[in-house]
Amino acid sequence: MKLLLHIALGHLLARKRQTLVSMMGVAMGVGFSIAMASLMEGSQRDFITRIVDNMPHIVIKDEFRANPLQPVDLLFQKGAVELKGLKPKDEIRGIKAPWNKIEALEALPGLKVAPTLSSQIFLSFGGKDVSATLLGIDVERERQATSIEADIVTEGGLDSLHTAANGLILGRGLAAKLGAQPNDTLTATSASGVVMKMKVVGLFHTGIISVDSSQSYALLKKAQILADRPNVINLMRIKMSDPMAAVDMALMLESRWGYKSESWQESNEGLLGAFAIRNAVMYITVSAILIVASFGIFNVVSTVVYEKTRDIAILRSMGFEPSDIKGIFLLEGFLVGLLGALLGWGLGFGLCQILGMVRFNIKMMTEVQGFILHSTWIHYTLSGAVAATSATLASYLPARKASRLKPVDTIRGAA
Amino acid sequence: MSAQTPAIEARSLSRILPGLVPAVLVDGVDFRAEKGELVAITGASGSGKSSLLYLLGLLDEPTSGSVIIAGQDCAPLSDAERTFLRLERLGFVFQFHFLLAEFSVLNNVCMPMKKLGRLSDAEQDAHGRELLKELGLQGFEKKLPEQLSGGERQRVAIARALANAPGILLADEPTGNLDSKNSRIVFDIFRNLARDHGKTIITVTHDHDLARTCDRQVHLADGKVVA
Repeated sequence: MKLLLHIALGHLLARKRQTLVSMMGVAMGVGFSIAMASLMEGSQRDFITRIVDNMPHIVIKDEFRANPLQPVDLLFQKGAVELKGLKPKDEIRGIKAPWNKIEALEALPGLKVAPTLSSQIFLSFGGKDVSATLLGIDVERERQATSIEADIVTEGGLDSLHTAANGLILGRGLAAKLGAQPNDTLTATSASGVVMKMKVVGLFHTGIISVDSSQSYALLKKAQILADRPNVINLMRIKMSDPMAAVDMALMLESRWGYKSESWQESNEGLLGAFAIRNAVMYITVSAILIVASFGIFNVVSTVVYEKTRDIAILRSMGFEPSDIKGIFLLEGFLVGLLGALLGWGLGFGLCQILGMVRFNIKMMTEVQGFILHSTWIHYTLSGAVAATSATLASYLPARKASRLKPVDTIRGAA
Repeated sequence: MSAQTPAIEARSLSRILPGLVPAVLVDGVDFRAEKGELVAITGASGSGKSSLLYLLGLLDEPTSGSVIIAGQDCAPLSDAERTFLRLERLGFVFQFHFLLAEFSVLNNVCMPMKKLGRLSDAEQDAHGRELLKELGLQGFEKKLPEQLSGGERQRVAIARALANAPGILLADEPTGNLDSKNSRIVFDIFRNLARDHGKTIITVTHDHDLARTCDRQVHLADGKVVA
């Protein structure tokens, strides 16, 4: 192996410029793949973290995925039954016996529940009417089950809701729309027509624009009064110690109580799918770069094989086996790939540093101040391994050709 | 090896290239060379001299017949075994020096030793230097082949062929690209190797004057030994 390496290095060093160009091709592929992967994974992780941190992992709603079965459906389960003129029962919305359910949920390990009454209200201030979502919350449970308190940018946190008769915590974007400040008194009107004066006792800022510009918090009792729905809870927001188990838990809860239980993965299904597609596009692009680089390596090794036909013949006549010859040229490809990958690691690291320094301020779904990068050893190892493997594979055909050369044909041709 | 066993022997050796009109390169040649013998193979162009040499050197496979090296019949050997026999017992010198351009003179000479792997790096180095010294190339160790003259390159090629101390040296027109002075030097080296070191040397040559200086001449015509 040492001898083969010695010969392979000799060949490569004799063609410094060609070798360097090939190595740079690999390095570019590896470097950009690391930077791209870091960028993609960084933004994906940031987004998921924001979702996981700021949004409930499971939401149990006072809704059902399918209409309830009618007695006739239950009687003729396999029959072709058609019902006409059916009048749905006018049921009071809300989760039935919520506190029993909350108690049951809180008995499960790793689960925290925030009971909520979510309702649509109109907030009026200074001649402006803005539609908003009001979440009536139980402060103590809200604190344990969500991270909203950490996002309150004013003094007092969630406890400030207790400091006024009808306290209201607004999203900063919503407050800006209204032109309201802390201690301002707004007029809140619910869909049922109840009007209530509410005092702004705090502002929050999650960084998720849709939340900050439309959501507000009040005590559960006040929200129930405003919505004219006493004792009603229509949402249970659940935080789990293992967010990845949310899908299974949601399924279990829905099958147990029938209420629509939506995991964070289900709520963001489209987005997570988009991430998967985005990653696939990225890996295809990066693979294409590495394939192009592999052609460069193929070219170099093929040229060396062509130029070194006589050397191959003399090595064979000297006692080198076909596998030795193949090994020399495979090593050449591997070395170009390996050294290119090492250069690429440096390039990738440098690119990540540069991208990490770029600053901008764009408001999209979340507020972004710069590229969020997340590099792991997996990116480096994977790109390096792919580069070294593709480089070795690229040199396989010329190496095999070299190993099959018959020394006597070359020597006869040279004579 | 007994006193009667030839260093190398060919029995009814034939090489026919297949095709619409098969080309007979070597036609039923019987040949033997003893230890310490310098044999010249002569003949006109296309007479089968080089083809016979390649068959004797196990670089080509005969259509029929066999090559026997130090009493060992090479016909049943696998390709790997024939390759190892070449590495251990045979040395080659060609018309073109075929030195590896990227490597120094010493590295070129040490290449077969590195492949065989019987000597340590230091021993390989010392043996390589000794061979170069014997061939009048002391001080050329670090030079590249391109920095040498034609005669010097051919002497380096001879040193490389002798690196693993083979018993048999096969030379295919080794003076074909050399002037008369360098040609004489090469043949002086061959005579010295045969006489003083007991090497069996079989050389193909067009040069009748040089051939006459050998112990024996074998003349080929149309792939057959005629004299």
